[in-house]
Amino acid sequence: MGIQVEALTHIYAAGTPLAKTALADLSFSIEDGSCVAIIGVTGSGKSTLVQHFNGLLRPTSGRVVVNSVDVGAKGADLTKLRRKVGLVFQSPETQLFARTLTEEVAFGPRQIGMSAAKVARVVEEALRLVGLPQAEFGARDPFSLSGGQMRRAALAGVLAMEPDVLILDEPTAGLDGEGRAGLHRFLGRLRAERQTTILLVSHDMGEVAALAGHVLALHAGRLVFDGSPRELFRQPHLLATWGLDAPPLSQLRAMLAQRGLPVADALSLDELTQAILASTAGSP
Amino acid sequence: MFQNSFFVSDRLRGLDSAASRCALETRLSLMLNNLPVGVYIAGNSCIHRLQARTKLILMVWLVVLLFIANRHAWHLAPYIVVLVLLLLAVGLSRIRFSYLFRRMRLLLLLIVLADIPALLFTPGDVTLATIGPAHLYIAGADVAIGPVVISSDGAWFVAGFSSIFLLVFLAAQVLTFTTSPVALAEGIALLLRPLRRWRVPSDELALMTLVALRFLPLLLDEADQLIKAQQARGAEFRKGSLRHRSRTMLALIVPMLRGALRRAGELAVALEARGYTFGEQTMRYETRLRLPDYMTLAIVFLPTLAALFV
Repeated sequence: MGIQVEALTHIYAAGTPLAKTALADLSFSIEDGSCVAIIGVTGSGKSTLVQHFNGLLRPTSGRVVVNSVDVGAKGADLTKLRRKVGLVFQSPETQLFARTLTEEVAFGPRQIGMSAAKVARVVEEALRLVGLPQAEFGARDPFSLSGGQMRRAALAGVLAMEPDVLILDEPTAGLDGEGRAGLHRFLGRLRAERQTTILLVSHDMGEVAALAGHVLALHAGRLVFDGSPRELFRQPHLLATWGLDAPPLSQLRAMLAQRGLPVADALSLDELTQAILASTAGSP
Repeated sequence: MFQNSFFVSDRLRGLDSAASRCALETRLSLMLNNLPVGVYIAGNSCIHRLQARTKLILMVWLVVLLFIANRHAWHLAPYIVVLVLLLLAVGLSRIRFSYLFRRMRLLLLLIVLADIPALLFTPGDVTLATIGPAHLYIAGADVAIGPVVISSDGAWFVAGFSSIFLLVFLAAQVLTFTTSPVALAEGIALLLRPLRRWRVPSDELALMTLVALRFLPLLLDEADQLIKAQQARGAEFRKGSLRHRSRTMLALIVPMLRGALRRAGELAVALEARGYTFGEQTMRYETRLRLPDYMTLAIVFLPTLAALFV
């Protein structure tokens, strides 16, 4: 189980003068229940990569195996795969269309023919998970919600399918601090309650540091890093060569070191506070 | 404009090529994804560098010329000259012939299909004997249908109009492959400017053309993205009752319309914020015709005119 990628290459518009290699020879694997961040600048191939995981794109060459389903194989059951792998695109709020939030979230489950009773259950559950309880929001017009709420409403639409793997493409892009925090709370809840595997496409390193247990970095269609966030943020020069910023906490650490206070590396504010206290403990 | 209709049919053709491989929804996505967005192929050849006006004038001239030439049956000189000039242009612009041909396949097929009845059933007056009536007895025991006569008029009609279609389409391909949409819109605006005297809003028309050219691929991309997004949350565009399907389509149509309206609104604000006013615009690409432009005009005009009188 999990996701295995072997020598994946994807070329857009192959065989025309506009052919463009988006992914070149990628190999890695992702374990069930992990939270993996896929990072890289715009155009590095992140979005192309994640669209292979539920069969929206097929490999030009190489293999992608998700939950034992070979995505590129002829006759692969992609409909079934798509129910197992929820993909949330950038700005998912643009796909809302129904008159009420309940209708909106029920769209997917009804499409795949769940019974009415089950639809009611998964809709309520999904809305609760994203923090828009049905009692309060169920009858609301989706377009009357705030930006962050609309995004979580669209997320609920995917969650209602009860996927094993949830892929989020830049989930917090364009959200304010409150919207961002709401989304992070939801992701935490999701992992705790359902053990869903989460793939997070992002170029917000703060978010990556806070959420991910593992990081894949893409640069110009190639896999340039495959390891833990701690390992990655210890090498800020690497991030710079790929055009990415170090997370704010790492930047703070670097500044402290420059001014003569070296502290152990940290991924959260608490950790950093402890580290600073530890390294200043001896001195007056 | 007719450019656009070819462009769309081109995309639809992609639908067939991928057909055997995937389910309909995926196919839709693939078709939108694997085809180039926009027909302009950036380059720096001498054909690319010509002013758009030069290319537009020549394009119009070719149409006029070919239709004049068509009035005299079997007067082949103009066609040959035009073909040679177009092949020269393709060669100079460094467009691959194979790519060009792939885009012309559908038109070729349509022409052949339309030609067969025209060839067989165009009545000829006196001239039918010159080709020699082709007798086609379909020999059953008693049933003899025919003879089917191919008249000289019919043959010329088919040859003449097929050539015109192909040559004009080829010219249009060269034009759009080598001219950026912005330059094209500016060229159209400049060529229509004399009409402003009669209150024809030439610059506005050109802007609309540009917006259409620019937005079509964008909207197709958006549709593609939306199809994928709705699929990812369970939409099945192929299965189910009519009621079920119409509901599924709603999940595409509503966000598409919202998106298009939002874009239109944003574009209007952006145009105003940058000081767009109605009336004559300053051109960015279309400056003045230079020596290569005049030379090209001469290289095309002189032999084609001469060919008319040969």
